[in-house]
Amino acid sequence: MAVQKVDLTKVKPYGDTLNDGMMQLSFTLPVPYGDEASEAAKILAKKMGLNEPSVVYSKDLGIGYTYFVLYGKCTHTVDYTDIEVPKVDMEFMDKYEVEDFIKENIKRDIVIVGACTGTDAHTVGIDAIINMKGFAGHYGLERYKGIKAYNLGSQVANEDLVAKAIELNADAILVSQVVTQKDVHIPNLTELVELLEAEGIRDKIVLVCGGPRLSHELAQELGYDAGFTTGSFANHVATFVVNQMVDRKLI
Amino acid sequence: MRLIEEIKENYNTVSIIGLAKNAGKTVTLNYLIEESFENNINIGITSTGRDGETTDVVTNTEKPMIFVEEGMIIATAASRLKISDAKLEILETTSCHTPMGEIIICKIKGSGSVQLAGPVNLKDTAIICSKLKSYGAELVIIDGAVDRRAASSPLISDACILSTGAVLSRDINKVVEKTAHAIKCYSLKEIEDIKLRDIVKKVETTALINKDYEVYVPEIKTSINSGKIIRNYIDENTRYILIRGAFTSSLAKELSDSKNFKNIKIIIENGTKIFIDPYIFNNLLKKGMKLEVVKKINVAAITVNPVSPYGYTFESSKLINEIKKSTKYDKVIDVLSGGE
Repeated sequence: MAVQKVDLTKVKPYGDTLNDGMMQLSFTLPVPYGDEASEAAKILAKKMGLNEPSVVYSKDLGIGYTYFVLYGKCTHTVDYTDIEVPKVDMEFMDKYEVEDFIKENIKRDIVIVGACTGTDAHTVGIDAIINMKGFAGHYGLERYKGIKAYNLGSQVANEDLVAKAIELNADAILVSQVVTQKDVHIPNLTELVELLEAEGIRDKIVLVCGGPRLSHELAQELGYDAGFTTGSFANHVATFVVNQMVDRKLI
Repeated sequence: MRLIEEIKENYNTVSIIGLAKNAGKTVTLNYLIEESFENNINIGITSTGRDGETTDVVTNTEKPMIFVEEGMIIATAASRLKISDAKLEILETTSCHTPMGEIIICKIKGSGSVQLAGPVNLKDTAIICSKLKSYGAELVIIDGAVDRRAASSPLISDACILSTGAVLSRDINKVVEKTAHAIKCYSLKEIEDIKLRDIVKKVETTALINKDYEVYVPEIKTSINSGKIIRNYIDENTRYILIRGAFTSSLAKELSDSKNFKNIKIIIENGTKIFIDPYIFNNLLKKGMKLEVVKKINVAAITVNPVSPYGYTFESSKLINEIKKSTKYDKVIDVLSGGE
């Protein structure tokens, strides 16, 4: 069977055949249900660079709003070969290697405090990293010998997190931001950095954030030491923390 | 007189602080770089975040590059050197580490664009600033990051430039209100009582001071969540409460519940230590809160960006005038449209 080769410099969405650019979108417009609404959805799709848009489903949501499912052919391409995503660049240790590393290089228990801060009530991220059972076969930090991990839960105010970290003499703080609206996670994350600076302890703490909308790149801009996104496990975070502690002489 | 000359005459280190992301910090930096080049002022530049990248990682909008001229000195992380196209001479590798690599001090040998990524914490920032000066920078400029204000602390810089703009809110009144609040925090009066000033120099922790200038230090690890404990030590003889570290909403509220609150002056280190939103802050003032600082923060200028990356714009002159009116501050500049 002849397989058409993918040109990674011009990647397009795949629907039925390669490079047909087919995409499915679903969204709501604040206009009353009807032909004019569907037309509005199509015009919007064209502006977004979708050719031959067609509304395959629309539903009246009441109160003059309409929901759409729309198909269209994307006219844009992406050069996949040119993409560079900054990641935490290190050889990750597994749980046992981290435990040995702590025993050999730090020679005491380290304290890690984690929380889901601000208005965010979604603890899946911080739970996956900290809680004993972990996630997808990777044990959480609570299970690590040599790590005392505290999970403060969700909707923790930055000031409470800082107070707790000071009280426990924390070596590292982990912050999770999962669901946030209107980029509210940005000022929420910087406020924590500012509080740590105000308390004069920023240089003594390894500060890590994580969440689906965070990248290592953004984390650095916000003043964090690292940012972990979807697909990270406890051993990744632990490797980073213990290495930082040694590199920055925070033992 | 041009802004850069005024700054150089009065200060050695100036920080650029944004009230939000995209408030126009980098544009302000470029404006100062240009002015200093035209006025033959040798500047040193560093950042507390990351600057000069071409697209914004949050809004995906285009960002200004940082264009430097021959003779200027920069401090940036090693990994940023590769993606800068100005000709650089490495003066020193500082052994100050950041996630983007070691901070390197370079002299510009041929003009071009650079990316800046500076130290992550303030202690390192202070070290880097003094190094820049030792290599001959007459004025050091620290570009702030996102909405972080810590670099404007008097421990780091002699003055700051406050960048504000449309990005703060779709409502121009809110932009003005938030800007005025920041200025209010920064221009709080320094301690009037000379006797108290001497005491503050010696006391490094949060403390209560009574009418006979006796100092009581409560046993707390941080003031942040100790409002109640501190309040319990307040009596009719307490005159001052010195707060070291962050002055938060909850701490302020706890203190304000004391029946002696009106007889007390609260002393904080400086305006960057205030973590209270404008609404609560004004309510506390109405309740009789008296606040003084150990050290005031000088504001060299306010710069405004009337354009928001979220797709709306204010009339520049209106925004400038409203801010001038509510801050009672004269040096308000729209750097986007080219200054005064």
